[in-house]
Amino acid sequence: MRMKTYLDFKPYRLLAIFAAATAFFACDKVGTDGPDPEFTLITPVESGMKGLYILNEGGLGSNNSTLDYVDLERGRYYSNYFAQQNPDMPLALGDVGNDMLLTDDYLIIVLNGSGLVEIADAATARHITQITVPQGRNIIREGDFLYVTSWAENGSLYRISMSDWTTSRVSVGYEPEGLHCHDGKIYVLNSGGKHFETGEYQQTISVVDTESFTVEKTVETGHYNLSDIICMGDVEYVNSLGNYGDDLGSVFSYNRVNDATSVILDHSIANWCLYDGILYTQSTTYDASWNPVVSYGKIENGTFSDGAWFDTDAVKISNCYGLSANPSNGDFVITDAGDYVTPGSVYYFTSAGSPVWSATAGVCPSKIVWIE
Amino acid sequence: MFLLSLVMLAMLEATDTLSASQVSTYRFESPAVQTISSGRISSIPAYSVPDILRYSTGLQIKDYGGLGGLKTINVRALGSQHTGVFIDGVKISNIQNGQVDLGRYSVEDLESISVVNAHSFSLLQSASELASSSTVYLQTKTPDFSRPYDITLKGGYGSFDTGSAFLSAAVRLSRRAYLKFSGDFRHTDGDYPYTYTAASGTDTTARRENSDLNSLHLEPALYIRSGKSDWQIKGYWFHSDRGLPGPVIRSAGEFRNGNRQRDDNTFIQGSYRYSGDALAVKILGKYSYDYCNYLQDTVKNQSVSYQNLHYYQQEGYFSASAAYRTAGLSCSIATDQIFSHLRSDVTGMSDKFRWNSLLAAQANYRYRNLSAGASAVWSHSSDRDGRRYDAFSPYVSLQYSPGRFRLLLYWKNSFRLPTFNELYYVAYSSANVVHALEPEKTDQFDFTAAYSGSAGIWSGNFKADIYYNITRDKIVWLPIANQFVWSALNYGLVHGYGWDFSADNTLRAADFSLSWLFNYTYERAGDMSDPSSQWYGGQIAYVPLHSISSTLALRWYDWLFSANFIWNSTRFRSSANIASEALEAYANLDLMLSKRFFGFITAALSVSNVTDTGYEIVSRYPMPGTSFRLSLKFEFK
Repeated sequence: MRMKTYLDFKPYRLLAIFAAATAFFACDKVGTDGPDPEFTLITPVESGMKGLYILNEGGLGSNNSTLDYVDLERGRYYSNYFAQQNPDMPLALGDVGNDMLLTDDYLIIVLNGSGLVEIADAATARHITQITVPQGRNIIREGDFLYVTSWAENGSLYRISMSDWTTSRVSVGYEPEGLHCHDGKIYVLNSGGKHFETGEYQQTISVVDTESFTVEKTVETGHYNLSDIICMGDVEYVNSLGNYGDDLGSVFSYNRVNDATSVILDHSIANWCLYDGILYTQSTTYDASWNPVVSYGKIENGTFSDGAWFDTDAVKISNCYGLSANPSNGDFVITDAGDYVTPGSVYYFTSAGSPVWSATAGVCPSKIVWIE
Repeated sequence: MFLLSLVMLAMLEATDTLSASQVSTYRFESPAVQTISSGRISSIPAYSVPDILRYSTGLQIKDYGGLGGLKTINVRALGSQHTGVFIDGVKISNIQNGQVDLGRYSVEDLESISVVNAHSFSLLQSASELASSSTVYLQTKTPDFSRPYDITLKGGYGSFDTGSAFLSAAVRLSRRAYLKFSGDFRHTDGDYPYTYTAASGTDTTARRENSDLNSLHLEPALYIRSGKSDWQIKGYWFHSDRGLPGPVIRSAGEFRNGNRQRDDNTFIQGSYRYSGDALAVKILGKYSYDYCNYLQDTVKNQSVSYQNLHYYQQEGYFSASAAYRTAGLSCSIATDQIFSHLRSDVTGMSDKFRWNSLLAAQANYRYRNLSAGASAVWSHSSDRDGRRYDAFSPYVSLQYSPGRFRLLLYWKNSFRLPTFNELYYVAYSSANVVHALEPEKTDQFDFTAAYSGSAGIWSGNFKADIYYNITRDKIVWLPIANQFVWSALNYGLVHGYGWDFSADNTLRAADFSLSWLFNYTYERAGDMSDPSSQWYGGQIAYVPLHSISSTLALRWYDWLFSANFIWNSTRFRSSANIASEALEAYANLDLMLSKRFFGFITAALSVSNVTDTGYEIVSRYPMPGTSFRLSLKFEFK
């Protein structure tokens, strides 16, 4: 039972509003019933992947982080799927979902505002357990452990054992964001995003040894406010957000062996995804009067090239908030956060960049995981 | 009886501290004014001003729940910062965020509360009054010079350990001078239970935590009356310490919100009025010092970051207005000078200063039943860092008053300046993000018809409004550069229209009276900010399409019974008008029974939210269920 959207706004209806008063008890029914989760129909896609989960961040303090499930093969889009699958949880998924991971039989969601990590069943999104991790940001799995960056206690890396769900913590730099593990070492990016007032934007990567779970070394990169890391072969690509002032940030490569860095792009990117050795990027920069300038591009073999890789005439994205490539065939999903307050949109494109379907997501759709 | 007759008379009158004989000359009756006077105020169970304002048409109250929860009002969906709130004619200012927390003002000492769409027809208005899109007047009780003293004591206690004490003592010093002292203390634990219902139908009940409040308010005032002149000097001190319980969100185990807010508000204000036969003058002055401390502690809750912010706001205010009238034509000029200073330890807002200078002119021409009015306000403001704003806002009106009818047509253009928060506070960013922010502008078009009549023991006032308004360059917070850098932008556009209806009927006999006020408001406020958005035109957040408020008071000898009812239709968290964004419609009923003993003691028992309805006005901030309160009041005159 979906509530109907209110009438379109037309100023000339001024004269008709007296009539409207007679019908004013009509439009209050809200709610869902029945065990079958609701969905809307989209164009089915045969891509080799069964579907995807989309995590909607929601707004801070609004408890409106939601999970959408897309059944690609059958062409079904399930909004608010976690709440539908867990009708006995009155506060549903929670507050500010920042990251999501699908591993083994688990769907794992980091809820920053709620201060916990939700462990759900990968196939059904049914709640299994929850783990306290204050101000969690990004998550990876390495071996039998989950590693979560956290802003608590001036910057932490939490480790969660997947056998008994116990946690331990190690301090890293201020406001750690993205992380990546290679050969027993976790590379944690420190942003310092909340320490700008004291001029303490971080320029470091904390390297944590997984055996001892201690910080082995802290690498000075010379770039401010590090946010995302993606690995391609032997090279780590790092996104630096700059100081939102004279330093526009950058994308640079980082060599794990000798800690050398090399600039690839002279401004930060907002979203990226990797497919078949190519990093697809989306950037928002600002002109002198703070009007946004949106651009798309690719990073291939360490070189950036400008240009959209999807049909920007067919689909207008107002505020790109998430980007992901179908690991099976290189199709794209782009999420649009709109005005960041109302529910956003999800667009599915073929690998060639032609639009296939779109759907209404939750508030601030950001992270995507693919289901085989 | 006297109080109830006041209720009726006040329906069409604006408030002013001029004495009754002086009032008629410099003010014209306007149906744009809704007044709730002390008689009705005392028949509604109320802890603070917003509990009373609910019984007006065309406004929304944002209430975060409980005695300590922030309460702001929004008239006709123009935005709360467009509503000027005036205590005894002087504006309450908050240069930091433009919000006035009406929950701080108790109703015990109020003579009347008025809501005015656009502005009233008083000639002696300050430029600040003329500059507001709409106004709320809180008029404190002024002494009755015919009595040598006037003492009121009141104490109340109720659910959730909520207690209050009020004292007002006034003494006539001479034929011309009256001294008054009033004060109140309020306390609540505020730990009321609330219930959330899961989709499966199971209820979870929890209690609000860290929702306590202690507040103390002291206010001395001196009134001097001498022929056509009127002086008033008043001091004000308010202190409060409250817990901020925060939104109800999913949280890990021991999650407790420990945020605290401490306030000290001090001001001294003085006014002088001269009301001659053809000339009237009003001079106002005020100095205020406001301190606010916001503490977000991580001791109990690691899920937030530590913040300990201090705000110190000082304001100097000077206003002068003069009016001149002849048989048909009357006119006035007014100027306000406002000096605001804000010091805080918030990044980018260390030390800010603004000078705002307002100049206004008003003219009104009356011919038989017809009167035409016009006014204009010119505002110049400059901040120390060089930002300047100049704005001009006109108003025109036409009123026709045949017999007991009043028909009013007006257009008002107005604006509000960006607040210091909007200009200087950029979350998680360097202060390098500087952009041009323009004042928010509104246009209001309104047609009001009112009728007042009486026959035998019946008397009644009826009012219907139809309006259209536009809010341009609405200041909205949006992320700039990335999700951490939020900044205020002139992004929004809202078109609104609606109508409201109010009927106030009274039956009155010697030892009996029955009064019934019924208000209905229809309001459509469409978000027209982004034509490419799929939510284009959606009803903006928190504005119900329909709302009803009604109060019924029955007085029989020394007994008074009242029933007070509120109903709001579904509202939405955002302009996406879909089920997942909806806040359910709700109804609330409050009952009160009181009896007067020995002519000077009044005992009252009230029950609020009789049906124990669980509802939210602001998303994730549950409102209290059923609560009780017993009070005793002593009056010596």
